[in-house]
Amino acid sequence: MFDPEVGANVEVAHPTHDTNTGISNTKLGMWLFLGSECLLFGGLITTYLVYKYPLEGQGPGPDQLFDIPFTSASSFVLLMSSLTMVLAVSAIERGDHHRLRSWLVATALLGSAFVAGQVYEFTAFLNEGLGFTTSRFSSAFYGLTGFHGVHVTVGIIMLMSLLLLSLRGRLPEHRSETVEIVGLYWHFVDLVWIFIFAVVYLIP
Amino acid sequence: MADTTHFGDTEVDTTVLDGAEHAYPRDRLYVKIALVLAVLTALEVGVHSFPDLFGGSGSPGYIAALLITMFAKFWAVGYFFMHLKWDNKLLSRVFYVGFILAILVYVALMAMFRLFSQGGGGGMA
Repeated sequence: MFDPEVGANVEVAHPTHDTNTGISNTKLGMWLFLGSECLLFGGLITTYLVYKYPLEGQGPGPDQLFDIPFTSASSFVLLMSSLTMVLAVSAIERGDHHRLRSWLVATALLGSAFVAGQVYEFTAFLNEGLGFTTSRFSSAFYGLTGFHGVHVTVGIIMLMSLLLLSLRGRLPEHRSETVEIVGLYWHFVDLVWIFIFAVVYLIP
Repeated sequence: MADTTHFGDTEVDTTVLDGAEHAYPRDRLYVKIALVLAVLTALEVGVHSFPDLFGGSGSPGYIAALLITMFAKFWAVGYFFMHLKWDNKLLSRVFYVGFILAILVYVALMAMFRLFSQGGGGGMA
């Protein structure tokens, strides 16, 4: 309920829904989707691990290409975007629309910086002679990281849609779950990168 | 453009809600978790930069250190940022079942490709 003294609706976070499970169907659907995405990215990561080393004469391998300091910075940017995303969810749950918009923009900008970094990395690898079909390593690497990049890009589009809805006054507190669900997707994309960064870039 | 929202029958100007400073204890927790995540990422880079401290690059100690920090980050994001700590436990089960199933299936697949055997990682040409 809206509390005029507090100036916010303070009871919108995790309400009980009138469903068999007590969870909203939309949120349960998103979690099921994320569970299935684990299998999708698991497949891509496994394919990469199996084909990690190019056959002889098939172009450069990961040891010659990866720029760990640069990728570490990208990973840090994506991690911090998870913080701004959760702060956006927190802001709408307490009715602070101004901060909601600020955190959404911050998250989208951090996500864009990550994607820009990925484009830069791909361009550098192309200049080193690593095309998509150069080797089994290149196909597996571009397939995995490219697919993740597409997920981040879709997340940015969803964030901008939320921003537009908020600006048009169509994202009141009682619809905070919409922001939370987009947040779940965004955090999942971050989780996947946590795996990719360690398994693909750091573990030899 | 309309700048109002509804609470039941009451129409409220959203500008009234903007800047609400009601104490929200989770925000500080989120910032602390982000700091922990930053430290864990720095640790990962540290392990990669000084592999000899962990028995050399690719050694069991080196891989274990990276996997532990990776899973710690994974848990922190899921438990706090994705609200699994506060949400209905069914959601945790749904997610972790998918996650553990993925790990089991793909570890089995990698074993089939002899990725863990001596000189493994050959895969198929």
